Amino acid sequence: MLISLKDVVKIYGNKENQTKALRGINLDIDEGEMVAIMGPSGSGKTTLLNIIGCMDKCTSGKYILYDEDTSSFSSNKLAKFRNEHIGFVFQNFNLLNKYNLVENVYLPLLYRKGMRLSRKRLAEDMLDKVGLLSHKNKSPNELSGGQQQRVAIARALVGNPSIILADEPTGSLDQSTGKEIINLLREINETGKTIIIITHDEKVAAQCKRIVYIEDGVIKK
Amino acid sequence: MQFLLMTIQLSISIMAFVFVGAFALDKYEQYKSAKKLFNVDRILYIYRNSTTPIDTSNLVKVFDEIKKLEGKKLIKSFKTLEREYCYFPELESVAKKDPTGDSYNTMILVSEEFMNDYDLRIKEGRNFTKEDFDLSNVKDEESIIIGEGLSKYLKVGQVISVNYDLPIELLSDVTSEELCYTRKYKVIGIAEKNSLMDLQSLKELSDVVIDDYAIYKPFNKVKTFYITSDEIKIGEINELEKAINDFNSVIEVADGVDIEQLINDLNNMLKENDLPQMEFVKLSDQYNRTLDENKNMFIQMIGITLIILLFSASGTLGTILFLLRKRYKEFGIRLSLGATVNDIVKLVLSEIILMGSIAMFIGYIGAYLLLMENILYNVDILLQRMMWFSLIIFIPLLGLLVITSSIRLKKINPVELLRGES
Repeated sequence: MLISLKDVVKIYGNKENQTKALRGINLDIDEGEMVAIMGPSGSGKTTLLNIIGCMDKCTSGKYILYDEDTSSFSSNKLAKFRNEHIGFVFQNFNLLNKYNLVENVYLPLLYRKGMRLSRKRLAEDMLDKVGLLSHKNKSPNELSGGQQQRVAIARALVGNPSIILADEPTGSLDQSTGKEIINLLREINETGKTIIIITHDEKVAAQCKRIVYIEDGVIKK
Repeated sequence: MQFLLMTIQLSISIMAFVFVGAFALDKYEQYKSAKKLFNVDRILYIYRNSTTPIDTSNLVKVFDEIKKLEGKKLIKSFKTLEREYCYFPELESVAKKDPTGDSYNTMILVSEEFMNDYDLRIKEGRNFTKEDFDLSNVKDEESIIIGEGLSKYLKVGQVISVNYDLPIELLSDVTSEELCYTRKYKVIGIAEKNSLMDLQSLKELSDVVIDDYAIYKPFNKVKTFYITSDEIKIGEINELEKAINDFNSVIEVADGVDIEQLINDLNNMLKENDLPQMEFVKLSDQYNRTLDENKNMFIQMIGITLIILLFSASGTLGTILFLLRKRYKEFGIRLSLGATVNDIVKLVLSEIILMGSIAMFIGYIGAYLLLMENILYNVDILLQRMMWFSLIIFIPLLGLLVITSSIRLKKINPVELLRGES
């Protein structure tokens, strides 16, 4: 099993003012799956994604990734795991406008040893794969929303992670561009990568092999 | 853009800090060097009032009489110093320009007594000896000590000369046959860098500056044009006597002697010897005020420097923290891509160091250019000291900034950073 969550609870806030975002999540995801996580706003989808993406730690329970319990990881080890195994795609792209596309794409490689010489070439390869190599010297804000999301996907893939986490990847795009992005994610999934998508959109979810519904911090089905 | 603005802000702060700080240090250095030359509280000089001229014809005799008091241990010493302008073709490239555009080098004529108390550090060659101050006859070569800045142009043992010709316009009225002579100067020593003081006179100690391009020479008996009632001829002159006649001497009173009583005794002595009456004045009466002004100015300048420092430090700290806050989302993105908090701290630190270095460079160059416009004690020394002060102040500030930023960043969840929240 690639990802295994056992009785995961996440509580925010202090003792007087607690918010239970996740209330005992149990979820297993195999390598190569394409899973959609659906649920209403405030249901805990993003919190779950952040825990799966090693961006956040659960308050109790266990999150096992590659057979290792991440709850005991230091923040540096979590960062290393994120860098090597996980690629993020965000709703609002989260690109840095002060850098050009190549520099944006090779950002994850800045934090990996021994990539100094090859990172530019790898970034250009990825931009080529998403069809944006001709724009490589542009700033992200010179591109359309769909193009920006492609750059974000290239960035998520450049470090060759096994898991891609996409938080509402089509949320800021029109329908046809959204469709293109989902198709691109499907193509990536076909290469053997595990894709987990958070979405409100049932059409997007329908493109995935499995759908997980979450409500009030609990998986419904 | 933000980096550029921050760098400009910091550059201006550093420039202002260094500029004002250097001025403060300048006043302090002048105060210190003036105090070091002699104890101004025990110095007397003869007051010359331009509106009521006094008879100076017997001034040397007056000093001869006063000198007798040395034996009675009432007078410690006489000190004489005179500042002259000279011109040597060998030193043309480092010569200064006077308002008329003529080139000149500064020559300080000093008495033996002045040099005895002046701790002149010699880098090469030797200091003046008793023979160099001998006034009995005209020397073929007069000894000079040059500042370190002139060592590129002159070597120890080198002899330079100046030819003196009577101006053509005077020749028609005179009957003299050969009206030209040459004075030769031999370099006997080179002073250490930042060691030669240039001062207008012993009564103007507030204008002391360090000048590595100055030349020191003892008062000597020298050749000069001699003007009589009907002709001009070449004669000899005692430079020390001339300097005394020009009121360039001061009297250092021996320790333990009542100065007021000594002034009375001096006046009585002049009367008894039928010499013209002089007004003896304590240098401290006039000079302590100047010294105090320097001291007060130093304190005021230090105050201004500290205010500038406070504003620039708080301004820089505030702006950097504000800009860091604006970059939280970027840090969140980097963290999500696998950066550790230490990576972020390193990134911020490297940017701050780069910015600080550029700002330091620009600030110093700016301050240096501004300071060059002013005659100060020693711009090089002042800048060196200010650089150390800046490093002592700005490095802990930088450390504080990094620690504050790291603590803030370490407390923050990457998820919150990604949302652009703090």
